[in-house]
Amino acid sequence: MNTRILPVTAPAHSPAIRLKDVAFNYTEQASTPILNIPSWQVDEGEHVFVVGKSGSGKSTLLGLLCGLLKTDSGITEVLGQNLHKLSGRKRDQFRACNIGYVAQSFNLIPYLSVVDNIKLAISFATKTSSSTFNNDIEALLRAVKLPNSHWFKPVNRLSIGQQQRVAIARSIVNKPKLIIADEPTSSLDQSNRDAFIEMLMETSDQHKITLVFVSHDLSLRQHFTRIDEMAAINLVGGL
Amino acid sequence: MLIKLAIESLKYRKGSVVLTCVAMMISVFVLLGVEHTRKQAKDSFASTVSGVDLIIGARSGSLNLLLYSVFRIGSPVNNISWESYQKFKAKDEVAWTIPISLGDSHLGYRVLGSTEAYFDHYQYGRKQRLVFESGSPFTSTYDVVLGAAVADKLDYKIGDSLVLSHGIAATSFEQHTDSPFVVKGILSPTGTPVDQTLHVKLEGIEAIHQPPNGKKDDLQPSSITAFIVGLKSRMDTFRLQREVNEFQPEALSAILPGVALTELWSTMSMLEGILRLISALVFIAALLGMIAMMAASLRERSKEIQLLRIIGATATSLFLLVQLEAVLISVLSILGGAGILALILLVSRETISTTFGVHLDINIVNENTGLIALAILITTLVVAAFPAFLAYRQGKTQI
Ligand SMILES: Nc1ncnc2c1ncn2[C@@H]1O[C@H](COP(=O)(O)OP(=O)(O)O)[C@@H](O)[C@H]1O
Ligand SMILES: [Mg+2]
Repeated sequence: MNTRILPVTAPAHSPAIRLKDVAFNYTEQASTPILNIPSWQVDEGEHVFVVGKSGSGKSTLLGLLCGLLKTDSGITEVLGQNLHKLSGRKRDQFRACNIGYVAQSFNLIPYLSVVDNIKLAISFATKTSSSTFNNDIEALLRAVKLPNSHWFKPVNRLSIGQQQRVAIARSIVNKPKLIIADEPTSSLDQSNRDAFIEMLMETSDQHKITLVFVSHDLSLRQHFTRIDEMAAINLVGGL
Repeated sequence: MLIKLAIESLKYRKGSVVLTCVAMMISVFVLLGVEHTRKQAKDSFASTVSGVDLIIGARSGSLNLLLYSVFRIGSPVNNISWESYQKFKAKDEVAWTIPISLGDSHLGYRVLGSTEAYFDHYQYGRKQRLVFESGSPFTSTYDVVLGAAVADKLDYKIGDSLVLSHGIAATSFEQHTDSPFVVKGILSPTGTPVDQTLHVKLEGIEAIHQPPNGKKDDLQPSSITAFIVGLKSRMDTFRLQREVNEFQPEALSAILPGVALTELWSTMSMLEGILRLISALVFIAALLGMIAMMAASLRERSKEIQLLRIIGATATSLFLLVQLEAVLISVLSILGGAGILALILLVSRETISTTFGVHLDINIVNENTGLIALAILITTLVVAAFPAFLAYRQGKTQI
């Protein structure tokens, strides 16, 4: 079970994300879908800021991108894989190996230590239990500037800002090609927010990771080169 | 890592987990306790007499005869005459006999009158003979041979003198201070009621019963309580039994210890069944408590489940996680329950041994209890599949 589901080695300019005619609904009976995306694309290494009102389907879109949600209509290609052609188990493994996810809160198991949280993420991606504390983990925690007195503390004794930084470390430990961030700064104050965004940008640049960052807070747009309106992506919102 | 996660998650929810564990522990204690005591009581009873062909006493139910003659439980309905005893003792097919005279006590321990034949022929366990820890069999009227527990508890040594009283109460009113007995021998432990018995000659029993101020020289017993018979050939067992049961001068009963024991077990089997049923129900109640606790915890853990899914846990991993937690609780409870049982046995075995003549082993690890532990684990796995499935489904549907 050591085989990672690697993205198909595609031509140089293959997009990291390509959506085509995607429609999604939580319940099958509902008359109007929550998402209806004719076409949306993100290139490799791009940092995209998706902005939209609360309830406009941002989290749902991210759920589709990381394979937690599934739809039968259209194409949802992520890193060269058409996700909805994969079995549930394969999608889970794909997500573990290739996608780093940072949510608004509860990014870490509160009663595990910082290091154990990272080991846990490793364990789902590799399926081998060589979960020893190693240089990789150490380097990661140094990169997110977590003092090493905190490394073996339960996560719930860290400040929110520290927790979100550990979440960044956790999200990139498996060397993903794509980071998905769902309003990761909404629970942070101004100074923590800026530090967090900078750190996220730096890390994803450094490892050439594609970043999809979702928020309703337009003030964050300054950090991004590409800004997409949710209303423009999702036709349901535009109606 | 999943195991670590399970352990830490249980630690995190200490409060409800400890309560659940305690309930499970108690139920495991009851399950194992009932089974262990049942098994040990049977073994203990079965190993009390060995190599005996017939036990003969006054006419009564065979169980009653077995219980009072061998286990010192209950009391005889009647004595049998010395003449009848002599008559059967003299029979050709009889190899040996051990007369038994009961009804007296010393500080709560039973006094048994017999002859030297007792030490020559009495067998217990797997045809083991009585062995002297020190001293020798009684030879004179005022000699007494102590069972191991009596010597130990009352701290008697060879040469000590003691007073035997009439009756079986722990403190008897009629203490015959003028009949001092001297410890002649002390037996090695047997794990049978012999350990709790003081042995004197039949003449010694007569001496106890003498009026204080009218000593007779003739201490020839006129009756005994029962006698144990060893035959030259076991072929004669049933014939002699019939002869005893049809004996005219006196109403007698002859029993085969093995048959009487079987009868005892069948009388007990109903009780056993009820005890087992109750302990199983107690266990199921505790198990349901655990399941309810786990199912309820899933709701408050929904964020945790969502997070695990996000970092790549399959729904199957969630199923396994819940199963692992259930197994951990179950294993803890088995160990705890067994620990409580061992502790209680350790504390109470003396009392049980002296009151019921049942020798309980503290070592509760055996095939039987192992099977029960296995059954507990398997039942846990089966029942925990329910909350585990809930977690699985929650993982599938919730994002
Ligand atoms: N698990 C769910 N089941 C059913 N409906 C949901 C679920 N999650 C979200 N929705 C609905 O989908 C719509 C979009 O929600 P969401 O994607 O969370 O928006 P956003 O993240 O932009 O605030 C909302 O109307 C919400 O009520
Ligand atoms: Mg949202």
